[in-house]
Amino acid sequence: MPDERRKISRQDFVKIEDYLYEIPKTFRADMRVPARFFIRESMIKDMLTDSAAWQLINVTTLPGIKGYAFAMPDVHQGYGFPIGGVAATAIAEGGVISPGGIGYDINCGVRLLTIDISLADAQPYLSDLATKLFDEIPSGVGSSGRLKCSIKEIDKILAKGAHQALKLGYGTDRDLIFCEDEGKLDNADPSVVSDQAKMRGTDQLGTLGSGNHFLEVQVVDEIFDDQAASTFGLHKGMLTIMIHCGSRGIGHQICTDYVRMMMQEVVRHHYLLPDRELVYTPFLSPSGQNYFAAMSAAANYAWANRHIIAHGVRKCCQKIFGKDTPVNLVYDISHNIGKQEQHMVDDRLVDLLVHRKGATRAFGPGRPEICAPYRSVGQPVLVPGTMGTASYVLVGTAASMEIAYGSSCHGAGRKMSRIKARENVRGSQLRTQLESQGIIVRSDTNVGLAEEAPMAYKDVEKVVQIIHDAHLAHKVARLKPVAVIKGG
Amino acid sequence: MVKDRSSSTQEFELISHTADMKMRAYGRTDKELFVHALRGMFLLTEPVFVDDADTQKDACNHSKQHHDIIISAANQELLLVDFLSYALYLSDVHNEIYLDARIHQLNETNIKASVCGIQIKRCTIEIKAVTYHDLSITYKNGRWQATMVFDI
Repeated sequence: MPDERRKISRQDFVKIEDYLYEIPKTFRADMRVPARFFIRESMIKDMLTDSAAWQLINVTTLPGIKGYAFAMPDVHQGYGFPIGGVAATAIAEGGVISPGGIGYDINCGVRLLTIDISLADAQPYLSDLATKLFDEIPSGVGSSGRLKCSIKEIDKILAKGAHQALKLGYGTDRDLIFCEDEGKLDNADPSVVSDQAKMRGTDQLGTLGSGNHFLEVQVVDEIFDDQAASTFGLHKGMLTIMIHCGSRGIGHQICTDYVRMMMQEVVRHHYLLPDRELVYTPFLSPSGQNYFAAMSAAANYAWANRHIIAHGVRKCCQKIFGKDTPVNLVYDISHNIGKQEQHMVDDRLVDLLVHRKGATRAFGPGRPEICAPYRSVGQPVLVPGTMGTASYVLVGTAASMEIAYGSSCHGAGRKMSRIKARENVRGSQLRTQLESQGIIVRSDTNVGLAEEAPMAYKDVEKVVQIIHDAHLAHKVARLKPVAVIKGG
Repeated sequence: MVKDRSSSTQEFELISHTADMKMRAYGRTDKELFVHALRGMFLLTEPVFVDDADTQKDACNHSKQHHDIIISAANQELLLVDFLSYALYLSDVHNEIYLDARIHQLNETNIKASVCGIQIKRCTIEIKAVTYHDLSITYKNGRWQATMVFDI
């Protein structure tokens, strides 16, 4: 066990830029690369009070890791990887894949829709819209959707993702274009997904789940980049709807199954790991390939899930505002996923497995992975904030590709445990406070609201400003919440 | 929120963790430890029961749903994670929780048990997974103790 538990101190963080600090390789003998943190000096103290920095140092020990292990400004402790962690391993050099670098909620992500109506025109109907969304989109723990699938049908969803949802009558052709990977990873293989996982997926399509998952009606409050905003179909004063959810039980089970499988290997071969949740396997090994195919299948399920939810959202909006009201998809991104990507490493193009756990792809202009309508400006990056503050649309930059494998933050980043949030916030008071700010709240429980209180999170403005200043992504638009719908 | 029990009979307790949920379970025997970990995990989800009857007190006698769990693992810690993970799977597909179990056989690497299901309307907190992070099982002064982190 290489973990000698040396305490990390303020002095271990070496300043590279105002917004970038590094713990060098010399900090611990088993580090293969330095650990880099996109944070300001004032945030270092937070790094010393939880395990996030220690976890990122553990990530630097992954075989085949290239460049640096990165922490985005919303970083906080997880297990294995910190949340907000990015790491890339070189596939041809024995690089590994770690389920802990992707997480249990595989392809948890965000989808943003625009409604072509101004806040002023929509205002009298917002309460009805919030109620309709709450009634029509199932949410909460163990929530079941209206769509019940057989295992055979689940296999098709796992193989084809949002494309299969479209085939079942949900969404439009246009929607697929504006999803990361067009809502489908081709290497998905349902045959390496357990029956248990499939069973959990049979009745959860089209459901939000609980915890920090939500639906939010927002207004475009400020535009920072006219050209990118126009390309993404955003203009000041218009309504948007943000959907945040993932692959539900099927993703949780796939991760559980493969972590278990890899853990057995670790025990059998007496491998030493700095943290058991950092368990890994070579990407090109049979177990690595099987996990990647299963993870991709879960990612496809998540895209189908958000696709079906968006279909329900569209129907609700058109019921309230008129059947011809355009409800368009801006983009759908993943923030818990592993991707095969090519990046420049030491002046040559290298095939990498990029882990993003609580981090978003943020590709700059020209990358072929970006859909044609957006390719010239860069990929939209969706950053949900908190229910009382703001969310952001950013755009990937050319510089981002060189700095952190084209990656960005995924949200504001939790700073207070759910338990502490409950102790410090009364859900009923929070509801009243949000409503006094003009934000409509529809939620099963006040306790669930309290856990997600704005004070439980970092300041999204500061987090996004670091991303902007570091040129990981640039600000395009700020979205302010007008109605929050959540389960749990 | 589930409150700690008195120290002499404490079954489990919740420990603060920034994003996830850390639990410590206790038992006079290894079997009791596994049952308390199971019970603790599901009580932490803050279930809303279909019936308000005394099902919690004696789940195995009230339960109509019993599920067998037979698992082998490389060591006792992995066995506990696998046992709880399987119970989470059962919970998700049957819309039940498990507050008690009959442990027929338990050693370092094998468990044969029957968990007793109680129908629920919903849980307030969703446990996505039982993780291996900070996982430990110890036996000291006649008392078993297990620490684990749940991804929520």
